[in-house]
Amino acid sequence: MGFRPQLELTVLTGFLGSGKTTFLRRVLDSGRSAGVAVVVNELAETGLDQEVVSGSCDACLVIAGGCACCDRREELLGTLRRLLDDHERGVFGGLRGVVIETSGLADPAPIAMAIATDPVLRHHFEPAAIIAVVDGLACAEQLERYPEVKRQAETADRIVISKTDLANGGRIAELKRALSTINPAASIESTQSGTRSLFGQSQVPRATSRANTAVAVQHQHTQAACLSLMFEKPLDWVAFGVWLSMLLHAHGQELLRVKGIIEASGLGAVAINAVQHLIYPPEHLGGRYGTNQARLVFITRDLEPQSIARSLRAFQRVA
Amino acid sequence: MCLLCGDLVGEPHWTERSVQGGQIGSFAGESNRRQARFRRTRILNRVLRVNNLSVHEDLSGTNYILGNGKGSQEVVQHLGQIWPAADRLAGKRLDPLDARLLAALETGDC
Repeated sequence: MGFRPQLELTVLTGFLGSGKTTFLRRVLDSGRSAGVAVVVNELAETGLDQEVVSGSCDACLVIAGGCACCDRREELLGTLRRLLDDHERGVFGGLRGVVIETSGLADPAPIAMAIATDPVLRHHFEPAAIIAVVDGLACAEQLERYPEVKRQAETADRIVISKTDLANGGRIAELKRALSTINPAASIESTQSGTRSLFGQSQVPRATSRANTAVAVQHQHTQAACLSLMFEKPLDWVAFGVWLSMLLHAHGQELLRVKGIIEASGLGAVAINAVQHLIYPPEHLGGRYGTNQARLVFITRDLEPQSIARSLRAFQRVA
Repeated sequence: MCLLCGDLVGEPHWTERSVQGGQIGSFAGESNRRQARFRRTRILNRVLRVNNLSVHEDLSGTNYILGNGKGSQEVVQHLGQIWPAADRLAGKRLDPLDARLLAALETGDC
């Protein structure tokens, strides 16, 4: 027996003043996101964001006076359960999805993990896509000064650059390069030219290097490093499962993101998506995706990327 | 709970299930599932042996029995439970990046 989760879920994050609420209101007002409920998280006891977006969505709920990624996580889960109850009683009519607008200092990964591991919510919400809004004027400096900004960019599926009309083109191009270095798995767009969609997440990361179950280290940062793997032959799914489950258990804290599509021997294409210790149920896409397109991206912190590639090769050898 | 054997049956681990078009189920067919479990156990044993641990399937093919060389055992259902149990039985965190483990896997010395 199977079922389909009822509601799509997006975690909208971004540093203080990055333009999250403006982006959200614009998308809601564009009419392309009908049937959306918004949960706004404010660090302060009172906030203004809910006033800005409440007129543009079907429901707007507020969690104030703390951060939903840490001290207000239980309150967030309770709010989502109440929202779900109201949805099932037909209070909202045709609700399609929920957007959680985080506080400016939030780490989106624990929020996505809390929902994906909640015994009730995980059956009713699609795995959360993470959209990070970054400030086109100040992000380059913020990336250096505030680890929260980097964390938000590292864990995002989509990065939206705001205020591009105020910054010159060269600066934006430089910022895009920096962001794609930090998170090559994310799509990067601007608020001016973006799709303005709140739901859905990109499945296929971009990668430029090829290796035979081996390694192509694209970028090295002071703390974060990125590894892109491409495969010339299908992977053994059983050995891959043993390896990835062990890797996530032992090094979940250092694995900021694992994302991609692999060609599994006998099973076809499988989409992989993990954030730290949490892995979303891999989606068996069916049919052949093509080994020339299969790729897996790891964003790591304080972890040697070469050892990951060696380890995967070694586990595949014993399959 | 299984009405025949009384085992508590949890949700399938991500390594043991197939999700297509939103439909969640185990791999098609019991024989495929048992075959995958057999292969998983064989691979696990090669990894665990380096740390003086071993794993066996139970008769019903629903649990794994993990043990160390001192006679301690734990019954677990899937890979998500195997690694924390293996850490407890080994008295240390098992690491898939451990050079000694990788060397043993690469040379077939396990």
